[in-house]
Amino acid sequence: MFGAPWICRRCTNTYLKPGRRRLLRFASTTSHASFSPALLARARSLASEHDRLSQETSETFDAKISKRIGELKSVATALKEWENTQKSLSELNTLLEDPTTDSELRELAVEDMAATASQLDTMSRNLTTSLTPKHPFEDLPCLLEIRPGVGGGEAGLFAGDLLRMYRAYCSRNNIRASLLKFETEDGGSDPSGDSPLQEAILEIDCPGAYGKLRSEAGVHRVQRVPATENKGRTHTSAVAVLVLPSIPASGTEGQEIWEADLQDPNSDYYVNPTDVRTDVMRARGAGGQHVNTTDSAVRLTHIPTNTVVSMQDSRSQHQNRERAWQLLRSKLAQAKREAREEEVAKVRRGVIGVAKMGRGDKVRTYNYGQQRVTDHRSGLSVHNLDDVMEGGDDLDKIIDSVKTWLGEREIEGLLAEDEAAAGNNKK
Amino acid sequence: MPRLPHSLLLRAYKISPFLPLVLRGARTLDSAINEFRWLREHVEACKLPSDQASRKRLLYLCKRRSRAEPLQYILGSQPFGPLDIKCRPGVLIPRPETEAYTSHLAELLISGKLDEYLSIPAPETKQGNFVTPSNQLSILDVCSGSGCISLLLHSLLSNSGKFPNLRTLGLDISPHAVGLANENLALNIQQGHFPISAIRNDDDTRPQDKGLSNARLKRKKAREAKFSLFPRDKAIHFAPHDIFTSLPRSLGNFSIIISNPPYISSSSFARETTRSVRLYEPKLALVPDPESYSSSKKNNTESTASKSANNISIQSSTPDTSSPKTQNPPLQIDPADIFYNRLLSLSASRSAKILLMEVGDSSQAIRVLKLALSKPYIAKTSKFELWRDFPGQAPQPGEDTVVDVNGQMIPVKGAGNIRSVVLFRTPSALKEEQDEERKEEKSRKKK
Repeated sequence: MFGAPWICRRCTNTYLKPGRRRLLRFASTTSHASFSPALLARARSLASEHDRLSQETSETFDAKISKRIGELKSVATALKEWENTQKSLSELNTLLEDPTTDSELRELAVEDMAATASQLDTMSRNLTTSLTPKHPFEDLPCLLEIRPGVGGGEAGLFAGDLLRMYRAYCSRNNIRASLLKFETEDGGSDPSGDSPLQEAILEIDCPGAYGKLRSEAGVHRVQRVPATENKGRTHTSAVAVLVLPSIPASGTEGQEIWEADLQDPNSDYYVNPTDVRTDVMRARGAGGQHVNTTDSAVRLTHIPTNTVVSMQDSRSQHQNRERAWQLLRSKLAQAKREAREEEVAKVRRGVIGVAKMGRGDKVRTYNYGQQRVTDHRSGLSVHNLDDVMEGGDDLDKIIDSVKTWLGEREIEGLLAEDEAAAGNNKK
Repeated sequence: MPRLPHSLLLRAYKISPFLPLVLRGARTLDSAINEFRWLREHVEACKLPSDQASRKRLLYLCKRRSRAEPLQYILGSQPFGPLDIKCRPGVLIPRPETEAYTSHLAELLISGKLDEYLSIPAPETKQGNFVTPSNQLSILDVCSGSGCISLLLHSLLSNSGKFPNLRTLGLDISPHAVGLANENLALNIQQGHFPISAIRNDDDTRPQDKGLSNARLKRKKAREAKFSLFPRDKAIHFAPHDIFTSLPRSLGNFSIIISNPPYISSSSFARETTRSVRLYEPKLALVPDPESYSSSKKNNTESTASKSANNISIQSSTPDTSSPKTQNPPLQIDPADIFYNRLLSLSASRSAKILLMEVGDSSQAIRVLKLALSKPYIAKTSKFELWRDFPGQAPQPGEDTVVDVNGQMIPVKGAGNIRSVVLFRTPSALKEEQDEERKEEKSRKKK
């Protein structure tokens, strides 16, 4: 019947059922045509603001305005490049459509056309990234809080592993990180010990650390056979990672900014001292010269929000108080920011679904059995768990992928906002 | 002392085999865990050659703690505000309450809330041809011990930059304590808690020295530095001195007198102090013993307090004819309060604008207030306040904000136990007091 005695089924299927074309993608990811007019309008307005401001500062100098110019500059240059490319593309188009063009020129134009189109793509991508709004806390150092979630002792053990991972990551990237608070379940506080972690706060003391690590916030899930398991069953447990912007009370860099912000009641970092109750562990009985306690624990309670922070690591009450204030300020600033984001997120949510990142969402899975780490937001899987746990390059890869994903979400959100605003205007 | 339950010791043992030892000293598991961590960090910081050596060292330290030796003596230091204060047996360990009121006083001074008292011009004193510069803030710390109060006040005030001409003198009867205070000064200078301008006093030429030649001036200064209680080229200094003997007139006036004197009576020393205080801290710094201050028996012009063993009666120090208060029966002074009597008269003779004294409890505070009110020219010229353990905080529910002493309402600030008595000299009263002093002098001359 056939010339060949036997043909494998897969081949026959491929040839006989041409309707099932797998592994082929027809939709291009992003084309210049998809660049939204709303986004473009936004870019234009920002660019015009940039031009206006830079004209203003040509004679006088103002630190605030020049800072703003610096922020807008990337948008302005990206827009200029994009417009130039767009113009040359349209010129090429008219050239092609013109029947009087001779064939040689036409060939050249066709060649150019392809190159320009691809260039336009990168240009528009640049423009979108430059339009992504900068997170207000991006430049701050951060506090990374790790707490075990469901899963009992195993969660505590994995929390310790995560802490080690982030410390390794920081040391590999030459970022100074210090333990602000470390508590294990049995009360010991030796980072090298094996007992399950109860709470750890890592202070990452480099400007921009919040921008770098804020994508790490969320629930990290682990699937493995725990050290405490004697029947070899795989357990799933969770660890919550919280990333807070750290507000230096008296930083060395940019001190004047923080000082001003701390005193300004409108800023996120402002905490009204009268709202905070300080509890110092006091000696029972007579006190004074009658006892010589070493209690140095300090507990701060922010009464309006009922946020409680306690510190007892240092022998110095003074130092404990300072650290507690720093932590409280960070927590409140984050809460204020989240409350504001909540409103914006309502607008966005219709478009993107659940995109707000909080502590409620599972963000990443570490599967020891398959040696796999999957980030659920960017969808990236890495099959090199050991390297990730050592804070290696693969962790960088994951973090970068999440950051790109976050950027895209931001843009979608922006578009949604603009469209909603446009819709309101029409009404 | 209640026995530690076995279950608690067992729980501690499960965490670390060393912990039951520390628990015996610290008495509660939470503080034992913290103390054990600090001990371990201390041993780690020592960088001993081998693991075994550091384990041995840790065991040794834990054993010392189990015998109730204060952790501060074992580690050799105690944080006090932003400073680090060295501690050594024989000198009282700085207490957190002391830290609280000292920093509160510094805060008040820096924020300018006490300017109304400080801005009073000092009475013109020509004692010993000495004139106190008007813009100078001088602090006298009586019973300075480890020097913690002087050092913290001096550091906070000089770092604020508000008091360019600041001088602090710490006096203590124990030469051992003075030695430690000087070590603490050197340590904290090294750690950068003092600006250089706050250690030296550049303005050290006296008006009467102006005519002298340079060489003579130098010799004079060298002689003074050797014998003076407060060398003129120093802005902060500690010196051994028994405060019941007279202070040299040349020291001039002090704007602020602050003191944490011994205030525990011998009966409450036996019953109320904790074991580690009783066994390891110097009794000299805790219990005032009239017998031990032999020099106080000398009849000095400045020392109005005469110390017979138990009940001391003093007449009010104003002339008998001019004061209506002389009808009051002579006040009985509790032996635990003898320092307060001396401090009150010291602050009057040195025209101190602020006098802060630590006290043991509310009953002692009220005794001190009554003592102060019994001295008419202190009662008339001063505003009184009581501060609790944490004077900067809002009072807890159930804590009074006012105390009635002899019909006078005394405000109480802060939260916790009543910890200190504060006297502010009111501006209006100053002139009267000068008159009183003059009268006193005259009457003395007549005699």
